[in-house]
Amino acid sequence: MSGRMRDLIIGLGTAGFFAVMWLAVIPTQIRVPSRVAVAALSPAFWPTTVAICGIVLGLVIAGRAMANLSIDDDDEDPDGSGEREEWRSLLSIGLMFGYLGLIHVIGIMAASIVSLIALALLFGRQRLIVLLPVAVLLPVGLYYFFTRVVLIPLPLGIFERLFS
Amino acid sequence: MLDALAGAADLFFAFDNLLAIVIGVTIGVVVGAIPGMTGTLAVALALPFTFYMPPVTAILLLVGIYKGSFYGGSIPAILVRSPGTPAAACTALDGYPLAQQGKAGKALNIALYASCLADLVSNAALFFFAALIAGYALRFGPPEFFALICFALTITAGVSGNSLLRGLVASALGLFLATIGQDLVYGSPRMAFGEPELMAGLNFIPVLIGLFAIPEILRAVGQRGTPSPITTSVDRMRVTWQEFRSCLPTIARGSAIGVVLGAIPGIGGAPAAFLSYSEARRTSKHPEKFGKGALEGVAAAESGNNGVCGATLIPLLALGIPGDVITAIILGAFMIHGIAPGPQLFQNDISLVYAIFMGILASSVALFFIGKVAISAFGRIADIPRGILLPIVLVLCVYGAYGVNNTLFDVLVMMVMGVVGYAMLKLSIPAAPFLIAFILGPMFEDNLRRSLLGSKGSPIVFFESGISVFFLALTAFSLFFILRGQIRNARKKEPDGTHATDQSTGSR
Repeated sequence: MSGRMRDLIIGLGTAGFFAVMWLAVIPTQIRVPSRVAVAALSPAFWPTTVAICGIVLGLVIAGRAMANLSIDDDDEDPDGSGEREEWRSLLSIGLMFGYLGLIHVIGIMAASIVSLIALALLFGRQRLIVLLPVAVLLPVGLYYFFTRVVLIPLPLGIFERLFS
Repeated sequence: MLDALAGAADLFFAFDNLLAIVIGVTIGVVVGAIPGMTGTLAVALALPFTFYMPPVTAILLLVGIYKGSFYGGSIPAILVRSPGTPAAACTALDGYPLAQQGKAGKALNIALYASCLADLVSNAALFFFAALIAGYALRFGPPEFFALICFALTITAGVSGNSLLRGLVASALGLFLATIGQDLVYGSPRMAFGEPELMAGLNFIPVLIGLFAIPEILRAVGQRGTPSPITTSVDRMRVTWQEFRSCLPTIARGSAIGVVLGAIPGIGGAPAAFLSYSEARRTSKHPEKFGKGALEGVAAAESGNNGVCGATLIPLLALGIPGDVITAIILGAFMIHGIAPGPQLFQNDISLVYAIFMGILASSVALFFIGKVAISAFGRIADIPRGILLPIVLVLCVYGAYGVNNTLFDVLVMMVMGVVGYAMLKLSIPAAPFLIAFILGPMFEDNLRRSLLGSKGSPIVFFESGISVFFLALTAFSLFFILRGQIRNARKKEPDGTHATDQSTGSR
C-alpha cells in the first residue's frame, strides 16, 4: 500500500467514523438534560467537540493525501507483508474471537488449551513434546493462581465438576 | 532529632522489616511482570496479611509491592511488548525495538538503573521536601488540574513518531472512547448502548493489553515465514559505562518530572513516564532514534515512572491524602494499625515516620538486587521460540483481562482493541498517543466541568491562579514549539516535493 493510499484511508476513515459518531451515535446515545446552564457542562459537549475535531482532522489528512502530500516522510509500506501473511493474521483474529466463544461453551481452561495449541500451530510446526505440556500446564497453573491465590473465580465449563 | 533517628533505627532494624521489604519488592516485580495483573491488585491482596504485623513491617511490605510493580511492568513491555502497567507502555516504545535487535539485556538493565535512581531521587524528595511539596500539591484544584492536563496532552506530539497528524488521529480516538460510560455530572449513560458493562466505561487494562500486546501477536503470525529476530543471551548485553553516563541527564530530568507530577494526587505514573519521554526526545541530539530502540527512551520512561513512587507518598504521609488507589490502600493499612497519617504524625511519632523513610530507602536498594535477579529469570523469555511464547502471552492476556472485573466483557474489549491496534499498526498510526489521551481525557473533561461548575460557567477561573496560568502558558509554548518543528520539517522537503531521504519511518 502506498503512503498516499494509506493517508487517504486514514483520513476518510477518521472523518467517516467521527461523522457517524457526531450525527448518529451521540444524539441517540447521550441523554442531554433539557436545561443546561453552560454548554460546556452538557454530557454531549466533550464527545461532540472531539468528534468535530476528528472530522476536521480526517478531512485535512485526506485532503493532503489527495493533493499528493504525504503526512510523514515515509511512502513505503511499513510492514512490508504480503497477501498470504495478511490471511494468516486474519485467521489468527478469527481464532482469537473463537477462543472467546469457546470460553463461553467449554470454560476458560479447556478453551485456553485448545487455543494455545491452535495458535502455536498457526506459527508453524512445533515440537509437540514441548507444546502439549505447556498447553495443559499453563492454563491449569493459571487456574490455581487465580482461584486460590488471587481469589478470582473462573468459568470452568466442562471442568466444573473436576476442579470445584 | 538524634533521639528520633535512634528511635527510628530501633523500629526499623529488625529482621521482619528487612524480610518484608524483600518479599514485598519480589511480589511487586513478579505481579507487575504479568500482563493484566497490577500493583493495585497485589497490594489489595496483601493487605489482609498485614493485619497481624507490626505497623512498620506492614507498611514496608505494601510499599515494597508498590515499588516492585512499577519496575515489574517494564519487563514484559520490553520482552514481548505487553506492558504490565500503563506507564510501562512508554517503556515499550523503545524497549521492545531494543529486544528485537537482540539487546533485551541492555533495555532491561537501563530500565532497572533508571528505576532505582529515580526511586532514590523520589525518596530524597519525600524525606527533605515533604512539607513543601505537600503544600504545593494542596493548591491544586480543578482549574489547576485542567491546565496541567492541557499541558500533559501536548505529550502526544512527542510520542507520535514523525507523523503528528497520525498521532492526533490516535489521540482523538482515545479521547472519544474514554467518554463511554456514566457522565460525571448528570449521571446519565453515554454511548453505553443499554449495556450495563459499558456504564462503567472501558477499563484501561483490557484497552492497554489489547492495544499493545495483541497487535504484536497478530503481526508475528503474519510474519511467520520471517526468521525470528536475533536473540542474544541476556547476560551478554550489559549497559556500558558510556551508555549509562549518556542517559544520566535524561534520568535526572525524568526523576524530577516524576517527583513533580507524583506529588499531585490523581496523576499517576503514566503521564509522568510519557512526559519524561517526550522531553527526552525533544532535547535529544538524535530524536530520530526514539521509537526505534533508543536507550535514552527507555531510561526516560522508567525514570519518569519510578520518580512518582516516593512522591505519591508525600500527600499521604504529610497530609493524609492518598494520591492514587494504591496509596489509598496503604492509607487503609495505616488506619488498621491505628496510625493517622498527616501533620499530627510528624509531631507525635516522628520516629515511626523516620523508620518508614529508612524502609523506603532500603526498598530502593532491594529493588536493584531483586531486579537483577528478575532480569536473569525473566530474560530467558527472550530465548523461547515465538511460536510457543506468543500463544502463552495471549493466554496470559485473556486471564489477566478477565481478572480485572471477573467478566468476559473485558476480554471482548481487549480483543476488539487488539483488532483496532492491529489496524493502527498496519496504517502506521502510533498507539501511545491513544493511550495517553485515553488516560488523560476523563481527567481533562472532569476538571473542565468541575471548574465551570464552581465558577458558574465563567472561563476566567482558568486564569485566576498562578499555577493554572503557568501550565496554560507552558501548553502554549509547547504548541508553539511543536508547530515550529512541523513547519521546519515541511521546509526540509526537496524542491521537487519528495522527502528528505534521511527521515525515518513512523514508529509506534
